Amino acid sequence: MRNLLYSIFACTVAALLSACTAVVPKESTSIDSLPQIYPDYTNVTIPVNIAPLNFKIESNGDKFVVKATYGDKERVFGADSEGIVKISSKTWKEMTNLANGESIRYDIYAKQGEKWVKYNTFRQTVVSDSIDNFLTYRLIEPLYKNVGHMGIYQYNTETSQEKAIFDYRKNQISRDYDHTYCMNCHTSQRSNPANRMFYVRGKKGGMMLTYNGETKLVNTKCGDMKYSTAYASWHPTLPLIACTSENVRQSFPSNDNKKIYQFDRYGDIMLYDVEKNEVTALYKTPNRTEGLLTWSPDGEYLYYCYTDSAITEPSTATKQRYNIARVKFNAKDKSIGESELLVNATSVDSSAASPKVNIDGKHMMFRMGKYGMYMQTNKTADIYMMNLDTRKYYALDSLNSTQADHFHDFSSTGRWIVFESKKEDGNYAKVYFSYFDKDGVAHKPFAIPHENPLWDKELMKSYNCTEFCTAANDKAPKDYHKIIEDEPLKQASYGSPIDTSSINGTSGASQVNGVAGASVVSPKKK
Amino acid sequence: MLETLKNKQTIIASVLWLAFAIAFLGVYEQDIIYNLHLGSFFCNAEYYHDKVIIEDGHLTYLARYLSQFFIYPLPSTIALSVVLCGISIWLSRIIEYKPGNVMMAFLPAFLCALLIGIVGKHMHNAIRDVLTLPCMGLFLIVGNMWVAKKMQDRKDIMFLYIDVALVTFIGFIIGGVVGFFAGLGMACTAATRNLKQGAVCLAVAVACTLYMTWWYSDTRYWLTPLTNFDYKAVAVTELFVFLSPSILILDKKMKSSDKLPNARNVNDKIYGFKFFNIALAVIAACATYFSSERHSAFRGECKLTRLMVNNDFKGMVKAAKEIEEPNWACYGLRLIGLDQTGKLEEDMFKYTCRKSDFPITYEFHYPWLNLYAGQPLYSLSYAMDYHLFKEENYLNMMAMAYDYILVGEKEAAEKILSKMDDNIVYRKWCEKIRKHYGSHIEFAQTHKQFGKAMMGAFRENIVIGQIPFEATFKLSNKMNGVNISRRVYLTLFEKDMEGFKILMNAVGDKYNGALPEPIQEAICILAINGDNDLLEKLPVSPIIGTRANNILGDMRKGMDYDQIAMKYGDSYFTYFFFAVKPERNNNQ
Repeated sequence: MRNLLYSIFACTVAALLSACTAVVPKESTSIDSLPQIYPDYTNVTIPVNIAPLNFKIESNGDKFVVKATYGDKERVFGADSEGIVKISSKTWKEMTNLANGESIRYDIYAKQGEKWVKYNTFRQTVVSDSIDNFLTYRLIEPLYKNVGHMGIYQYNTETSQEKAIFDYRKNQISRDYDHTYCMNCHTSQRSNPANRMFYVRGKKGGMMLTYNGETKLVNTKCGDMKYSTAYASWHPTLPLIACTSENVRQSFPSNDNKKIYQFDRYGDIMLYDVEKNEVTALYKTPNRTEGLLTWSPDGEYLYYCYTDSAITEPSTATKQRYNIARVKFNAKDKSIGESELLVNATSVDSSAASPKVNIDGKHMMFRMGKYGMYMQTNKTADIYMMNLDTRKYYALDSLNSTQADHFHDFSSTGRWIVFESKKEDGNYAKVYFSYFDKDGVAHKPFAIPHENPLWDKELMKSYNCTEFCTAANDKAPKDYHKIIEDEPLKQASYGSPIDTSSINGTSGASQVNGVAGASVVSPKKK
Repeated sequence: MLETLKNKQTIIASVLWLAFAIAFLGVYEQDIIYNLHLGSFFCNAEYYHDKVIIEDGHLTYLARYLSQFFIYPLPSTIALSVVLCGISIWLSRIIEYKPGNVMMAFLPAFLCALLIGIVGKHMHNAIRDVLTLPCMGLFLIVGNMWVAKKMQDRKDIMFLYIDVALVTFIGFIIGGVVGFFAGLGMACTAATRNLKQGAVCLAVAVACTLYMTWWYSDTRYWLTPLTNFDYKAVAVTELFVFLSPSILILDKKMKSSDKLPNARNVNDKIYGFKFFNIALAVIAACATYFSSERHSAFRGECKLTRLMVNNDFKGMVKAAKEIEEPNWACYGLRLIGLDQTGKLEEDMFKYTCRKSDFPITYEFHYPWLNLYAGQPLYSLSYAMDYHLFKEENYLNMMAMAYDYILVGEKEAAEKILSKMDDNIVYRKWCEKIRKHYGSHIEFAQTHKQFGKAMMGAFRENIVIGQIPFEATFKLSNKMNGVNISRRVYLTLFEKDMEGFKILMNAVGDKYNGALPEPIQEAICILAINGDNDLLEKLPVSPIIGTRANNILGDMRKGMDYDQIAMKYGDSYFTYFFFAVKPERNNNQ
């Protein structure tokens, strides 16, 4: 037994030593092509504070040696038997710090038979513009019949560690379906990221709100609201959350590459005053469906998308098209002004949704496809950028693919874009970062790094609702679970008149004047 | 050791060990282990905590690794059994050498049960083959004897060390359980000699219990059997586990005068070994009893699945007939056999369907049923659901790969196949399937088992929508005649009368006035419920109408399934009124 232990110990030491002593071959033949690596981290621009970009070499070869040159230093890494190259956090930090403002150059050598070949050098340009420390997202199956296992997670961009924010499975007693929750849309306030919220659906569903350190579950469906609140955006500085009151439906075809038709049958814009615990109707229209919305960085405008197409049966979802507009918001009396059409997508038989405005206030990113607002299973969905000064928009070709590209967001500095794409297999969305430079150019995107570079490839989940965040969520899933289980659901009050006969485009706390296409609205009958 | 081997009680206990091994594999298929060690607060490293401890524990990784070699179930079972036996006997030997700790003989039994349970769960998921379970039990006995002989001189290994090692191995919550039993056992033993010692040990047990309850709602794991009767097997097992120390104390008191504390002799070894096996036997007895109900149906399900994968559809129909107590999955898998042999309409509902015959935890067969019915996307969504709840199951992934290929998404199929590649059992199959990436139509043609359903399916699309639409089904294209019966019969199988009605409104005329009996019966059921729409449009035989009224009358008189089935035979009426479909929560 003792001999066996010694042998195991000796083998381990030998393996470790061999891993540390990779050397660049003295002789090699050059190949005029880039090495194939997964994820594709060749010639990308990366932030100085990103986690190590480990990768797997997929080019032919029995052995691989990687030489990284940065600043006036160089390091040589060996790949393991599967071709995986892992860089320690300490080494990586040294590499990115020394290459800051310049680039890390990689030379990959592959042993093919008895000969070594060298692939073309590729670079990773390191920029000093840091990326936000955290990313929040939901993980969900690309297709489903039931809630399944769902969770909202936060990803640390500096360490590539993932932590559950809320994941019912970690607290459930058994696989009893009564204990499953649908959850969505984790979003935080830009000026104070500790203020955050997400929704929990189900029997005791509501808005899970954290404000000034206190967390509570709020039922925001009140007054004459037909449906509860859904998509939300925190006002950048005030204790206000703009949210839609939506009726989201889904349909499932038996044999179609669209897989899921997801659509809204109803949508209005509400305003939730966090401190007053009061909901008011901000923009209520009977014949128009408002959808995904966001505040401008200064909080003066509310951007949203809307459609006038009604869904009569599931397959007409492919005819529902959205435009993007904005309204001026008056914080003093919580009123909105005139609506301004920004992207008239319906005029080009397309649908535009999910506006996101850069911190510079000059660029608005949105997604556009042939139909719908959600676009997760819509292969025509691409990401676009509008220059708000010139009102011209253009496709971000470096980001887009032939599959669905969607769920985009700007970092707090405005220099980084995060988005989801199904370009790898058409089903499982993965997350990518792209550098958005001062000239409005989006650079070649790169997949979010993981310690195991094959993590996302093997993951049987699809990323969903990705958003940047500058502070960690310090609550554990059990804390949220406890609130759901033990604390009463707090009912929000309704700040708008409930007399439905007076509900029109000027109802609630707002005063809407001349909203394009919605200014003349018949009073709703009782 | 020879004396041990000659001891009849030991041999009997070892046989019971076999039952115990089989039973626990069955009980823990309910995933109770998974839920037992979900929480931890000792581990600060988030990644470690989230991905290793919380997810499944180290043993899962070992189990997954080992289970991939199950192309040769027998040798791998031997290997696994020997390892587990080694651990169990090692522990029992250590414990029995400590005279004051005879009570602790129970502990290794419990630990080994957990070990076997976790490994067994993954073995089961990987192979779905009941043959392996008795094999494992058999080698547990052999290994038990062999290792006991080899390890008889081992002494002086700290129990605490073993506890810590095992706790890390199987999850932190189990640590609390182990500590609780250890403390309780020591308290009971020590109390007979020294009250102070006993109190200290009891405090250990209490501390461990507090540890278990520290993590929010952990106590509920242990109360689960009380709140969810599906876990009755676990409840009774737990009860016996708690009672067995008392049994041991009683036994010990009776024999302590001449056997203890003069330990370290052969008799003492036999004595400790016997206790160890008695504890196992108690657990085995109740676990076997309560898991047997599920296994009778489960064996049939496994057999049908194997036949389906081997494309032996006639064999499926034959095997389905032989199953005495079919469950819902057997019923579903049988439909595939009937369909492929052209007997769907004729025989589908001529099958026993008593309520008690349908216990099942999840619908494994749904992905396959939808796949063979030409609905690859529905098949895919069911497969994904199944994947969530039952984790990696290669047969389920096989269905997913078929689905993706049949809808022409080779990149997604490759994602599944690359995962399956890790298992050498399926590696060849993956290579074979990859050859068909080019054309899904060619794939359907070359795979005759799907050909009939799929050739029509490419032109069809049925949309199932969430309410609020009046019509939840939309026929985008004209329905292919080949698939009519499959779709109709799926709605009948699901007892989805609304879907049946919409479908029949669309395709009823395709039957040219000659409706199969089950469909006529379903139309009568709609009429019984006040919906005469289809009855007015489609021809229903007066004989069937009369029979419907008679059955309804007899049911009102209180006749049960057996009486109705005896009088009228199995039919869609009996299926509709007596078969209970497993309930799922559709709150997406």
